[in-house]
Amino acid sequence: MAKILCIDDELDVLESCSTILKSKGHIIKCAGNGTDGYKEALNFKPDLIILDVMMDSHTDGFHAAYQFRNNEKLKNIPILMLTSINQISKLKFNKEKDGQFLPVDEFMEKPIVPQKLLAEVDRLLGLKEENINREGVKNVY
Amino acid sequence: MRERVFNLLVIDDENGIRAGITRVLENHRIKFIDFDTILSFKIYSAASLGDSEKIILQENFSFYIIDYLLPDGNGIQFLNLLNERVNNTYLAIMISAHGELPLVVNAAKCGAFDFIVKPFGPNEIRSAVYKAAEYFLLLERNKEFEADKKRIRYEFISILAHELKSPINAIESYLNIMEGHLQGELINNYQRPIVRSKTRIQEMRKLINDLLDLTKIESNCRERNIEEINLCEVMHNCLESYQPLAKQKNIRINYQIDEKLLINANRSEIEMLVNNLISNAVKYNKDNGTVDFTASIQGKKLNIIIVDSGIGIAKDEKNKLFLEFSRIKNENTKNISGSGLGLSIVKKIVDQYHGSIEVESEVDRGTKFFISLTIV
Repeated sequence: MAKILCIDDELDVLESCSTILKSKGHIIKCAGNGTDGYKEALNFKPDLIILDVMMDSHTDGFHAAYQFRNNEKLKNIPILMLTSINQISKLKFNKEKDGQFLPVDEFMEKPIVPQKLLAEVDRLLGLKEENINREGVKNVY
Repeated sequence: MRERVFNLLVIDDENGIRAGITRVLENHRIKFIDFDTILSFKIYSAASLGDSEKIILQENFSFYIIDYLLPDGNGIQFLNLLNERVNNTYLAIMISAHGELPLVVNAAKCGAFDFIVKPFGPNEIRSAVYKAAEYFLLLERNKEFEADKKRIRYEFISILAHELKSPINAIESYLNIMEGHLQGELINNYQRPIVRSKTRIQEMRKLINDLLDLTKIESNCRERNIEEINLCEVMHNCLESYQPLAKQKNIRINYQIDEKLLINANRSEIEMLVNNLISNAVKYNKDNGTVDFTASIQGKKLNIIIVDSGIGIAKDEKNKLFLEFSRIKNENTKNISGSGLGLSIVKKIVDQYHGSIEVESEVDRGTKFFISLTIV
């Protein structure tokens, strides 16, 4: 059982993630944007953060990721980034390539598939501190 | 004004003509106020087809002045060469001692923009070059418009694809949860995913309908039937659709329309207009709020004022109101669904009637739309 923070501006993504993760006994908190997510993270001290790539702005998810990595208390929490291909930002994600500059530990495409999500969550919760992808070149934009 | 220098190649075997044209154009500056441009030329010259061939490999030219008769060929051959080898935009002016029609037609077919007949003076050259330069700038501007059009279309479709995909993703995620029996074996446990899925489907249907409305207005190919419409009747029908939602939030919709108020307009456009305005006024209202709708005729104008006591619009958000797919995102609007097309539809209809739309709004107090349509 772990504490997981889900950050997405879409109610249905939050509800789906919650339902799936609660079915395995995890404790879930949700936030609707990067700023609220950051505040929530400071209080909740999650073991894992699930973060949407695009919220209030096209880069809200990226900014939130950098914010977590720049905070001493939060920087070692694994981040699973949710993406949707063909988004407006035209970005297509690739773990090997983008993991090098985005400080997140895994990308996962929507729609959410329970088995996949649960498997990734288990894997990321077991990630050793030294294997967390903290480094991302700052200000990629 | 922007100073622009264009390369111009003069091809003529007569030394005097080459020197003459160079002298006339080398310090010639043309001012195009409409294009905010002062245009001048850098002149190159060649005495034969062979020389020209070499020069066009080294430089890009926007303008050519070509003699028809050359020692090693003719001007038409050169035009064909340009068609084959040159990709940039250019205009060619052909010079000939004989202005016979077949030759002119043939040159035009091969892409000549203009024709000058010998003997000619500085004014003929300047005037031909002026025409060519103006047309060149027009072509450039046209190209920019085309590129803009493509970019806007691409952006529109990208956003649309995203808007259509989000509900599909949401519904699929819920179905995955159900398929995996993640909330147990009882169907009652799945009420929430079912209700949310249905909501997303309704939203998607609304988006598709709005999109059809929007394209219907934009395309001029449909038949736009103008008939006498009783605005009160339109309002009654509209209220039938939105009264249930208004009742849920205990919102009172008042309207002041003369029962005999008749307008000449397209029925479906006026219905779309009224529906979108009332729908917004109800959706973005607070519980126990009010909506006041008044319509009156003033000369050839139909004036509509719709006032709500809703959440209002912040100043800096106002300019985004009529953009396609723009929805104001904040704490107050996060639970309100919409396609983001409603006010773009309203704006397009207002434009159809050469009208105007103005917004006054105060956050937390409400919004007032003033609409004026020209009803002949």
